[in-house]
Amino acid sequence: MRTILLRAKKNIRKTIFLVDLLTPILLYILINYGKHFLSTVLFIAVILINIIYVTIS
Amino acid sequence: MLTWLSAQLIASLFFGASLTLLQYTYIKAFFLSLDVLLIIWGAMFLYQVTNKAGTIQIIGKFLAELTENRAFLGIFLGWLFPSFLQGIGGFGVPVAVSAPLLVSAGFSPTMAVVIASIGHGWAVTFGSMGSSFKTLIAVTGLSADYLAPFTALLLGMSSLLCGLLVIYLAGGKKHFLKALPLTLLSSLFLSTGQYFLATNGLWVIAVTLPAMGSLIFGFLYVQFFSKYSREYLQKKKREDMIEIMIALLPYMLLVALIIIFSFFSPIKELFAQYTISFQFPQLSTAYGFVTPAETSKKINLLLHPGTIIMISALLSFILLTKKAYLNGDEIIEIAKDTFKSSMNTSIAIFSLVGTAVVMTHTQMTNVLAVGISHVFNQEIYSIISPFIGALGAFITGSNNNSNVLFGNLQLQTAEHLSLSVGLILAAQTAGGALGSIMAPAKVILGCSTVGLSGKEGKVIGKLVLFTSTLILMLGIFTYIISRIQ
Repeated sequence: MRTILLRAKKNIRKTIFLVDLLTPILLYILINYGKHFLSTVLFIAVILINIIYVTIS
Repeated sequence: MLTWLSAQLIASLFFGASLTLLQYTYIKAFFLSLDVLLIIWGAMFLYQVTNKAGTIQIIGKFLAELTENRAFLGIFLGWLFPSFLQGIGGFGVPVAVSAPLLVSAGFSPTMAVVIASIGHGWAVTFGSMGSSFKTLIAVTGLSADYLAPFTALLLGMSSLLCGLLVIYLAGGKKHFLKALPLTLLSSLFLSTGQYFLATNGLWVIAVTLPAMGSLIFGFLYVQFFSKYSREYLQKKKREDMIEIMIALLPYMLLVALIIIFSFFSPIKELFAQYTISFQFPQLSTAYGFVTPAETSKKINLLLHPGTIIMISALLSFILLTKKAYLNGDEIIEIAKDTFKSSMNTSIAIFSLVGTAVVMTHTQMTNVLAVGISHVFNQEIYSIISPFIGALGAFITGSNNNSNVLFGNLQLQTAEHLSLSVGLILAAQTAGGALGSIMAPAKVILGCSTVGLSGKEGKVIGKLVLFTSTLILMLGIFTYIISRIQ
């Protein structure tokens, strides 16, 4: 269990790094093309991923 | 990250922030962070190249053997060398590299960590290629020209205080007077060099170059005044001296590239067109707090300090590979180490910038600033402003993060109290620089390199005492300047 948790922690840190790097650009494009629903869904997903990261770490 | 999530929640529940506003703050935070992260990634890459090649160890070993006087060892290994390392790398590297060298030179592990930590404190803001200063510019929206003079002034004074404390701790009363002339001259060199570079747009190398110059000056000084050092240098072979020159090559290359990219007009004009900037609409909360429409700060990817540092790191890698200090295949390992070592810092900076942007866009910072301005008057606030910066650095572990968290708060409080904004922000970042040296995250790293793991409390206790005295003196100095103005 401990090993699984450590591996998950390591992977989610990488995921968070990439999410924080790529999502804002994607959000900017979606908002500028008027896709407000999609951008909101994406933003909520980002918040959920961050909540998981905080919970694990 | 928890801070960012909490800020989002508080902003939506109590400050009327909509999901659209929060999305825009997320995007804005990314572009603000990118400006700083490019420098951090570049600095980390350069550090990994030089560390893998062993050049940092070559310079450190040479300095440790140069003199037998404990106060002079303190100057070289506890003050100037860590400051130089802070200039190029930072992130705990100065203490992690210098503390073991001090131990090998005969200092106790506790004293080694304390001396190396205090010695590089003044260099943190313009260190790491000026990333903390860049953050202050990014979060406050003020220009480098406006912020640099006061910042360089307060940090220049801090360099003297750090130097004096280091020679006292390293040499005691016995060697204090003997080392005083070199300390005063080095401090003059560091502070004037830093001031000149920072106020002329070269803040990226405002620590690296003066620290490198001071090391060379110190080397000449001991050679002239110390028989031991003269005899040591006479024993050195020509090959050893060439090795030291090669070890310094990456940093000389960096300084040369930054000067060329900053002052050589044809290159500037050629790359000037490759800038990116973004438009943001007017944003308002449900309670009517409006942030006007704005264009983000322009980022020139080809002329950015981060890009220049990366180019110099790549060129250094090629040169060091040719000189057989590195193997060509090691580039992948270096890239992996750079990615690993900068991941946590990047996430922390992004989430803290996100927090600060949410706070400014929902009036939270303003509410706090008004509250503080009702509690403190002008005189007291000018003294406590460096302590606020130090508190931010102590909690978050870095001057950079402290500037992100409290930069705007200090700006708005200074405006409410009719104090000089430039001066208070300088006090914020100088306090943050000194406060960061007692941050547990940094102390734990330093202690782990000298076998003090688990005994960090003793080191932090000593650091809190010394650093608080330095910050108090900084506060008094800030107060005096605010009165003179």
